[in-house]
Amino acid sequence: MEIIEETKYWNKPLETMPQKELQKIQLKKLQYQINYAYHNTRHYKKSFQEAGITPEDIKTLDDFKKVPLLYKDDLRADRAKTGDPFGGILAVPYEKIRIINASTGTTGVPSVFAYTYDDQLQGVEQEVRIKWSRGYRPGTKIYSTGFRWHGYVQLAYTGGDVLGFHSITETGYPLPNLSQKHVIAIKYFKPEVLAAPILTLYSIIEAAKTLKEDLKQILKDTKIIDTGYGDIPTMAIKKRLESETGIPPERIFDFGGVADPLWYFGDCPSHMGVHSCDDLFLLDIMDEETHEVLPEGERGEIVISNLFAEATPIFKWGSEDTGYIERDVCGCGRTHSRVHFLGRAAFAANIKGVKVFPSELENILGDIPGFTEYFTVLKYSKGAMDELRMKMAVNREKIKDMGAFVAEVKRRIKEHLNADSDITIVESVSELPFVGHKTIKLLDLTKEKK
Amino acid sequence: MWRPSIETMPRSEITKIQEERLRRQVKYVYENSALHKKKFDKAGIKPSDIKKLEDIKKLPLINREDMEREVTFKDIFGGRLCVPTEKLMLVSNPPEPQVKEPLIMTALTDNDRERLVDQMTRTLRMLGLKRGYTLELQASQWEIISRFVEAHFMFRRGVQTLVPFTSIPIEITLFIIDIPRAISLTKFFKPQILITTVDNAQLMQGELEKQGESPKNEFNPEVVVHRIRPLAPILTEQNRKEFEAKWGGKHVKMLDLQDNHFYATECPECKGMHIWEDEFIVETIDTENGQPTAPGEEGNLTITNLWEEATPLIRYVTDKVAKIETEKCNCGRTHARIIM
Repeated sequence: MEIIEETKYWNKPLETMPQKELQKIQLKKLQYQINYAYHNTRHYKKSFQEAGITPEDIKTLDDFKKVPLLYKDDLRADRAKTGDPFGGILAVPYEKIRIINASTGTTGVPSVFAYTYDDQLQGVEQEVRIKWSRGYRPGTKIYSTGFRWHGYVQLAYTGGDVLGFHSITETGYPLPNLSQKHVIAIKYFKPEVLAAPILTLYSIIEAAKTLKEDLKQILKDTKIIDTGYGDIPTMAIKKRLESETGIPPERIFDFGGVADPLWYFGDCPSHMGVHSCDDLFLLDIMDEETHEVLPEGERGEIVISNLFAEATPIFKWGSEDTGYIERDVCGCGRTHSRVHFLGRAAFAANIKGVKVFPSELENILGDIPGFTEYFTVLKYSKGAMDELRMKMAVNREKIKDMGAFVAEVKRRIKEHLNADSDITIVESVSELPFVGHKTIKLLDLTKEKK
Repeated sequence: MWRPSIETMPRSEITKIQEERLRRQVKYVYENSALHKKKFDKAGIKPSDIKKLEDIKKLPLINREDMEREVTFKDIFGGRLCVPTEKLMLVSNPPEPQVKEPLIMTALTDNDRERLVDQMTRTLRMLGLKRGYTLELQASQWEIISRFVEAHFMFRRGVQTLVPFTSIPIEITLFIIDIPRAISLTKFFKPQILITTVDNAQLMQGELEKQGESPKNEFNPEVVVHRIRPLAPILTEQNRKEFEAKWGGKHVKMLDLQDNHFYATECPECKGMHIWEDEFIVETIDTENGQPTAPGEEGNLTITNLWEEATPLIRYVTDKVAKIETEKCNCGRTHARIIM
């Protein structure tokens, strides 16, 4: 799976187009989409009128700031009031819908989105660009457990359809007996790519131990692990996967998406954030409180606008995820936006006004020998805190000098986050607070005192 | 009907097609599949011995154990692969909830997929699918590769390109989350055709009744298909009566045998599951003596695949016991039906 320079890109003219040109495309598509949505949906007509704008007011990308934000809860509220399952954003006659996609609503009321045939094609284009950038080529053998039925099912097949991968597609729930099946199948099939969510990978590791199989031996032909699917594969997680599977962090990739606007992303071998397709999406970073658009590189909520959807047009979709965007040319030569995800704002610690995310700590500290993803950040006062207080469990076998380890952790936190820290090393993982089988990454002590 | 000339073909013509295709398929597997060559040679049969449809009785029976013996680390298809691996589009192992070692894979080529799509379009049209209809397809996670789905969602040349309809795929694995989700989607979109299983339908009905609602008012389906799958109950006549009283619409069952890419579905007349006999030869075998049972008698379903390129099986004996009815159905189709 070597990447050859001449065939590095799936869609070279678009993928290497300068940002200025891309912005021209974005504006053109945006104007068309806004006009289309305004005249064909109930929701956008109403929200534009409430904001006092018409589609003709959007003359530059800057004017787009006037368009109101859209959240999942807005659609839910509309649905409760009107009984329209799509919350007033469906822009095509019902007969044109090919797939109705429902998210996993734990409350029993899922949010519902629809795709037409043309929408699906654009979803495939994104998927194919990402996979091509990693070196997937016709004939690549893939063992895939990562695709969930409702969201990815059509894409799972299209990869093979468009690119001619040989793929085994299997189910992704991290259940022990299913994972044993994966281990046996991988042993026979010897895939070049193993695609699975993080929890499923952990479950496969456990299953291999139960079956007394050496996973490193089984995966000796495997070049790439394709993971993510909603969770962020941080450096700490990649290091753990490396120790179990023998596949180094630079060959572990992140793939994910937001099903509602049909947005997919993934990183290239440069691992400089996940690539998005700027000719298909317009991304903004917005301040979580003031809803102001922030300049490139600053942290805030990621706001997604879809530039092609026929069935359910979506503008300014609040993803409720925090991150930052870079738009300089990536190491791989692609010019499109790169997103760095940090996590949900609710799970961040506020250190002197700067939000610190557990995933960020995992990335900064992940490659210190002995560091594990088992740690808890303590929130000991409301509002901003002066220092970062952490409890962590470590892999003692890999640490020679505990004092030096703690000093290195403190130095890195100071260097990257400009914050002092107070580190407590606990004897075993069981001393940390747990939910299910995951450590609580941020423990709110202020709540417990009540 | 999607292919009326095939679906209402007189018995004599079905026999003619089967004869012709059997001769071709037997020659094909003998030349390309290691498993079949070994079995045929052991029984002393050459493809040229197969001239008439009755000659199928001379061919050796194949069961899972035969394939298991052939599985090696180099051959995950149990000796039945007939094409180079470059031609395979999708490889999967027949989904089962438990681990069975060794795993035996099946595969499809591009041409196979097209054949499967054609068969599936006939079936869905038989169930009443029309342009603009909504179809809800429920399946659990491990069934993600069921034959039904393969044909249904294949992107460029799926059934949807032939008959445009709206499709709602729902996974039913974690009942606590997935049953309420399925209920709310079914209420929203009221699909005319709902593909489910007996136990999932009962769970949905129970949940609705708890809230003082009835499936008849909330869902109002035209046709409900209850798939027969491992570890789930089969739709009985008693079930059918209960469901039809409480849900309305027709309740039919579908047999989906993953190993040989075979499936059969009841038409709304509910008088046995229709086989597409131009694509399959189905026999009933008495496993005691390995001989076919008398016409209309019960036996193990034995399936000969006449269309597949990738991993076809000739005279594959399954563990499903059933009768075969060859009378013309009230719906007008002349192909045989499985009574189970």
